[in-house]
Amino acid sequence: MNDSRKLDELEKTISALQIENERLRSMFAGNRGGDSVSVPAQLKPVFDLAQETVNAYFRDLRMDASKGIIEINDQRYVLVRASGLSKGFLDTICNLYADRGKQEALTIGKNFLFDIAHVIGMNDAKNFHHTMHLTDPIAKLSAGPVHFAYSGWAFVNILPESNPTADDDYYLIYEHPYSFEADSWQRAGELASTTVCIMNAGYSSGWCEASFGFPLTAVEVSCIGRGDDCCRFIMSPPHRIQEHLDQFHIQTSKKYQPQNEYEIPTFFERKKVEEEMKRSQKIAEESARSKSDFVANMSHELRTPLGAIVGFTELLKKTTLDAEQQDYLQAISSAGGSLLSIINDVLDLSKIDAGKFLIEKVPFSLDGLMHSIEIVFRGRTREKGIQFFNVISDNIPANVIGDPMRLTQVLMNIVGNAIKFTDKGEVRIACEIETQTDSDVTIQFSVTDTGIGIPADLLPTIFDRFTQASTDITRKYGGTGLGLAITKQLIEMQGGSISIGNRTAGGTICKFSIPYSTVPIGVHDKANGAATVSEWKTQNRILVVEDNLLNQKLARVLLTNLGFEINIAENGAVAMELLSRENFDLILMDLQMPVLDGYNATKAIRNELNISTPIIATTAHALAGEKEKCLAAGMNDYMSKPFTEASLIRMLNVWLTSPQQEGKTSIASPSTIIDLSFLEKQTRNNKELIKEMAEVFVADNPLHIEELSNSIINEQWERIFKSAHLLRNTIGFFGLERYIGNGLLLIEQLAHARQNLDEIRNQFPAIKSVCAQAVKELTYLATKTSDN
Amino acid sequence: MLFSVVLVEDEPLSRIFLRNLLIEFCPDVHVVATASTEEQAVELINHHNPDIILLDIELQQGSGLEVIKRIKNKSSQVIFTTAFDHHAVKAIQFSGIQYLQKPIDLVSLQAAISIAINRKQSGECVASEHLLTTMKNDNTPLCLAIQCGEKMEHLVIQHISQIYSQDAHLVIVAEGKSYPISNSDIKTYDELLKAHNFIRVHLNYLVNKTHIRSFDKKALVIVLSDGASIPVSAKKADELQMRIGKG
Repeated sequence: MNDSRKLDELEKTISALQIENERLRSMFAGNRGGDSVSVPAQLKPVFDLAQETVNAYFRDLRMDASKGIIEINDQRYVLVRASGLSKGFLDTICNLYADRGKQEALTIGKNFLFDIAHVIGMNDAKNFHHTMHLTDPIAKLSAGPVHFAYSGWAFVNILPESNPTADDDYYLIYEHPYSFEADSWQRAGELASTTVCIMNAGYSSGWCEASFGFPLTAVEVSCIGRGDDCCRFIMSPPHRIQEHLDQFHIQTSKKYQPQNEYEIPTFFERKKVEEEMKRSQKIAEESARSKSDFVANMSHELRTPLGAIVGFTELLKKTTLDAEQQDYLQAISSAGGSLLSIINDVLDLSKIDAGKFLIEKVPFSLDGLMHSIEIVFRGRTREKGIQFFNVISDNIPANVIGDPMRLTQVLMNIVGNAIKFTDKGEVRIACEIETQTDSDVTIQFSVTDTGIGIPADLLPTIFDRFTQASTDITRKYGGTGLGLAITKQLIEMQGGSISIGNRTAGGTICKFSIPYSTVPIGVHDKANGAATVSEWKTQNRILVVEDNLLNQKLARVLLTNLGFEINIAENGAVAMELLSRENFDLILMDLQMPVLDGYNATKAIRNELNISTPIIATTAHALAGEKEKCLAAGMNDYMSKPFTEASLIRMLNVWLTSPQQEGKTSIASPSTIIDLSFLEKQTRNNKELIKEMAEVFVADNPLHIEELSNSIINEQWERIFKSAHLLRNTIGFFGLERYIGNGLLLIEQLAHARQNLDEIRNQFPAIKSVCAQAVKELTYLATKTSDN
Repeated sequence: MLFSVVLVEDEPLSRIFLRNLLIEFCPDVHVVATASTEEQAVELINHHNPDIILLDIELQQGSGLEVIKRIKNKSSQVIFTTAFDHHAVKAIQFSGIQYLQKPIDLVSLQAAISIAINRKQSGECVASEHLLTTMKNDNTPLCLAIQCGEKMEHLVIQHISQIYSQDAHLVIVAEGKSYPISNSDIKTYDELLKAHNFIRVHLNYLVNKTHIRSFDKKALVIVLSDGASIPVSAKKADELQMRIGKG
């Protein structure tokens, strides 16, 4: 019962569709008896043939609204409301580009339409020619106007002056009495300010182009949509169109519009312009690259002699000098230092511009890094009499993976600025988690100060290069105005973002976030250790491979002062010769040298001499990627020149006390935070005493921590002061002051002044966790040595 | 001859460490007693009357400064020990008492002990008196201790008119007398005396503002109350003018 009713309904629907299909078919196939194109008499036979072809093509029309399909001759067609393509589209574009002015907006819209229609015209033609097996160019072309009429674009009236030959002289002048585009405007009752049959022109020229196989364009010279008597077009190869337009203009004696208002579609022009742009962009990139190469090389050339100046100044400082000489030397040293930092800024920028700046991904301790920043700035803030707070949220992961060098650079710059522009009050760094997932954490750093702030009108350009708040600032505070620009780029290269603004209470607030990967506890970056002199074997011999005389001398003095025996080889070949005869504990290797350079020398040392002595590359070319190259050549580490005593010591600490070296002195292994070098040195390595002290620390420290914790909870200032002081007395023995020395000192100072309990509470967790870690490590040490 | 030492240190690690350094590496001294509270320290020092006291400023129970006040015999040479940046350090510097920063390294300890022995032998014992005076005076020192060759002098700060550097040493002028001192630089005194009306008018000159009789800004010269002429660097002229102007 139910099923038969459904069947009835279905049959009814089908027959209704069939009727509809028939109706449409008769409408499409019918041209009401007349011609679908008007042409000069001599062309009539050709076009009559074309009309038959097109009529045959359109005979096979199927429409199935239940599937949303209209098909003619197995090709899908789409019915689009005509004015939607013309007036509606142009109106939208005019609104979209209103800021460019009405005229330009309209031109943009027209160029869109022309391009689209031109491509559709070309493809329709190709498909039609293929389907109807047309090969003769004239037959291909003549189907165009007919197909045009059948598909509802316009009726075409080709004028007798036309010359549709398949050569450069191709010229077509034709009219559309019923253009769909002009009709859209008429029906909207609106007079257009310009010719509007753009798709018509684009489609026609596209079809003809596909037929004849060379570029064609068309320009509408008069338009019904604009109030002219008819829509008239001129079509020709693009490079001839202006000439034909001029000719037409003379003939019609300014009947339609001033000559300069013909709008030639930019389709072909644009292609040319785009190619031109690509070419000039390539040239620009090449010249930018050679510019930044030049800057990098130049900075390098400047850095080498400056490195010698700074290095020897430091050495001179250690000699006996009178006060006046010391003052002069200080002036040289600080001027040299600031010159070096400017050159480094410029070098950084040129590296960023040249895309040579690589961001590292290594594990490091955020906590440790923040504390070393604090240590660097503590002195300057104390000198200026301002307070300095470093608040690290206690849920920050112990280790993260990212680029500690770049973070240090960013913090040095921002904190340095904050201190520079603050004369009283405080500078505060805070570091907390912004977002966190299982494997990633985004850390937000904020640096606030109570300084002079930034004039509001300069905030928008504060990150631009060479921007400083005013020239007065430059005079008073110095600097290149490059710092913040570099900082922003460094942060963005690490995937982060930065903002800077004024605080309502006065001063500046700078916030930036950087995403990091998190690491399992226990991974520790060895190279982060502080630059303290470890107990090296006194008989350590170092080979310095270096061709520059000044650098040779500097290295000799630095290393000899540290108690090493050193040999110098002026190139890789001499080094090879020495190494084949004598043993060394460490090799410092310059990269650019005559005869045999550092890379090849290293390869030869490893492969031919089979020597595994640590090799540290030294180079003034501090370019990213250099380090990877060095490691690939078989070197162990990399140090940029000019190297300071501190960086040298750090390097020696890593490579002369590493486990692969025999005679390693430190017994605290595996060590992460405990550093026994102080005790080992002061007690002349009295192991019994060190062990006793470790036991005392392990026993007492938890009690001291508890005492500090209780006194903070009970808000007893005197007890806080005393217990913090007591702790601070003990941590130095085990090298913990670099982690929590400043934190404890701050607690002491605040407790003494009886203020800011919140800050004291902030400082405590880091102290507690570092001490807990130290107790753990020292427990291991105590049991290990008692086994011996 | 062995010099006796009382070690006052309440923190066990520092005590173990210091004792070890003294016993192992300071052959001229012997540790006669060790105290860990203020009470104990006063009692033991009064009892032993040591040549040298190694005294922690900050004790959990009491204070090293109180110990100095309370002991009967003030002739012991005191060496304060303190963790970095203690608030009493400046007062101690002015008094001329030695102090060692923790953690103490052996070389500094040996140097301090040898100076203490020298002072003990030459019978100097005024440094702690000066510290007591300073403490009574709301922690504002009246005198500045200087090491003048072998001898320690205490100059009344108000009487110092100028300090200048000449060749490799410094000269301090007070009440018409010149005191040459070595092993120091003008910057140290600049820092120390900033809060006492001293102005650095030149790379090589530090003057007491209260002693300035006149300032010729054009010629860049100051004349002091004792008639001495002091050059002023062009950079300092404005600042000097302002500070004199303000009175």
